[in-house]
Amino acid sequence: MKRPFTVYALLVLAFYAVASSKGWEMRSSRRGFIPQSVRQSPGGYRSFNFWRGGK
Amino acid sequence: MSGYQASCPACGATIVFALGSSLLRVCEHCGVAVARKGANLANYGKVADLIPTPSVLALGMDGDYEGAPPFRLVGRLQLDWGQGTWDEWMLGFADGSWAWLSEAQGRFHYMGHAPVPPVPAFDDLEVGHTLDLGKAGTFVVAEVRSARFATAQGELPFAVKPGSELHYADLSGPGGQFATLDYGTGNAAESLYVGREVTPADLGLRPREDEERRKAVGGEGLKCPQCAGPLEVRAPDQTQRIACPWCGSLLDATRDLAVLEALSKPPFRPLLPLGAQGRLRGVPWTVIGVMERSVTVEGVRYPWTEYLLYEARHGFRWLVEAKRHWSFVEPLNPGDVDPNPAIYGGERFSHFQSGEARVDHVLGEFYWTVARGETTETDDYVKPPRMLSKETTREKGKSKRGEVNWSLGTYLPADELWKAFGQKGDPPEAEGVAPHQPSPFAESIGPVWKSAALAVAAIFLVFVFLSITGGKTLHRESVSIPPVVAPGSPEAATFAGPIFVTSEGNVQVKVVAPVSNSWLYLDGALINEETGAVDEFDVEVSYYSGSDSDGSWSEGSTSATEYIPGVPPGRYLLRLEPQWEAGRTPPGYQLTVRSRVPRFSYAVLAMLAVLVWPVLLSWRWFRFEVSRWSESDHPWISSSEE
Repeated sequence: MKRPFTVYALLVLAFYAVASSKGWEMRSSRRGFIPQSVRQSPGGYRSFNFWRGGK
Repeated sequence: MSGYQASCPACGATIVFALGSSLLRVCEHCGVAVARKGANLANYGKVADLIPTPSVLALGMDGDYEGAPPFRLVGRLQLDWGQGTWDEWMLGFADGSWAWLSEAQGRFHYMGHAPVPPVPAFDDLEVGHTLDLGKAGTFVVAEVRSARFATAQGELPFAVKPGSELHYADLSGPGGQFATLDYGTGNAAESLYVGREVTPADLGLRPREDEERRKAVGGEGLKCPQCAGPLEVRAPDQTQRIACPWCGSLLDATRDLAVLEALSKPPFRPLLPLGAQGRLRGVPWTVIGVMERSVTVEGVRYPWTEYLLYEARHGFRWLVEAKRHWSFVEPLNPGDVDPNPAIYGGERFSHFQSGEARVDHVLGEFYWTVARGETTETDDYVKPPRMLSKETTREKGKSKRGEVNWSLGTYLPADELWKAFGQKGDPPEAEGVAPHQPSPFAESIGPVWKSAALAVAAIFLVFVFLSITGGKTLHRESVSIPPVVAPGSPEAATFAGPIFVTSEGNVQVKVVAPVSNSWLYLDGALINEETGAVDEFDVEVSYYSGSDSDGSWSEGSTSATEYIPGVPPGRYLLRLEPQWEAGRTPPGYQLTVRSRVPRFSYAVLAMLAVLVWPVLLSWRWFRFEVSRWSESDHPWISSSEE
């Protein structure tokens, strides 16, 4: 019983170490895509410099 | 030896007291017991013929023991305690001293004189109690009985008339020591003899194998006098009772197979038949007797079966089967057990159950005077895989008298036993948990918890290490919101960046705002400027405080953190659109963006994942122990709770 548990605990530890160092998250993102035409349209998403520059 | 020669007062024949200290001599010519009374001789009457016993000793045998002067067997006393007979041999040494050698059921105890310490009177002695014998140590009173002077041969160290009732107590001391307190015919202790168990070889005695002994032993061609069924007697020199396997009658093996009780054939079929042979612990045992015993608790009968095993050189052992669980049981020297608390071999046993065991059925042969209906007090103590059992048999109407026996049972896996006795197929499946069955979880539970503690500590250290060395700050900015803009308006929005994410992982957005009894809500989006991928999120900072009748209070925090999962490498822009309480001055806030940030909550989850195993293991161990103790005197959970 001890050996299987040791293997299990090491796996948990290794998984945690890898996941934490790589910044893994347990949930997925709310990711969407904005077409380039929208991003570059007035009032749309622009680059920081472009937006600030146009102010 | 300093002898004394005289004439028999009955027949005039010459009689010789080989030892100067002998006080009784049985005349070889007329069989009269002649007692020395100072310078006179007294006729104590004719002794009965010797009871044929399977003794391997004979008067006149010579031997020596542990450097003592050579000795000779000069006297033999046969005592009858009502249910059997045993021999006491008087050893006469060359220097005129003497000692006893008792012989019963093939076991020998050598005992020499010792000074009698202050001990209770015979009527006050109680079986199972302990006695301090001074230098000899503390002894357990293993047997308190009275026995009749049945007959004698040769000479004896006391002058007692044949037929007299002699009182004695057998004591068991540590390390195999044995002692007898001799009360003679009175109530005060007259002599103390201390010694230990020996073999004839230890004493330099060569056991006899003559025709007379073979006749006494018998064992071949026997038939049950009740049903004429053939009886196979496997330990003829030690068997006291035979329960006929054909008709069930109980026979006295010491008195020409006299029928003691015409019983009906036992209604049970032992799992191992009489005569079954098996090798356990390297010894080839034979099943020579089987009996079913039971205890009844609150009207419920709990039976078990005991198999008497025999091997000529090793003597007797037991196999005990209860609910298809098996134990190998060995007798213990009572003096080696500390009864309160039960400690044997340095190990402490836990009390499991006490009760009154009754013999319900018997089959085969037994080395003691077994009888159906016989009851004994039992006390069982466990320390898996072993069970320590105490059996106290008390004489009817004399509760202080009787004997106490200790035994040690070791749990035996059924398949191991089945294989050892060459039984076909699989053994019957065991039911429940035996009192001393080893828990499959007990051995691993401690090491698993230790390993779990180490793993939890390692996870915490990994978290601390990654918190110090891991996590890369991508952007830090102090954001102020123009006071003239409206909450949630596009003009209030802030675009932070460009932010360069170099490796895939989470992105932490941390906002610290000096809000007080107010809130700041940020609708955020992390925009990959190269791919157009947008990760939307929101962050709310709120902090309220005050005081009421219960004192001061506060809730919320002036900081909030949000994690955006799985952000791929690239150039990003962070849009934050703030909202705040209308009518208030918009608060500024401190923005920090980091990537690949270790999270403590995940460390806790990893710790929990590690702990699940030992917790489940502990739960299974607990259920196993609950089941074990459920039929004990100390159940862990009462039946109404289960």
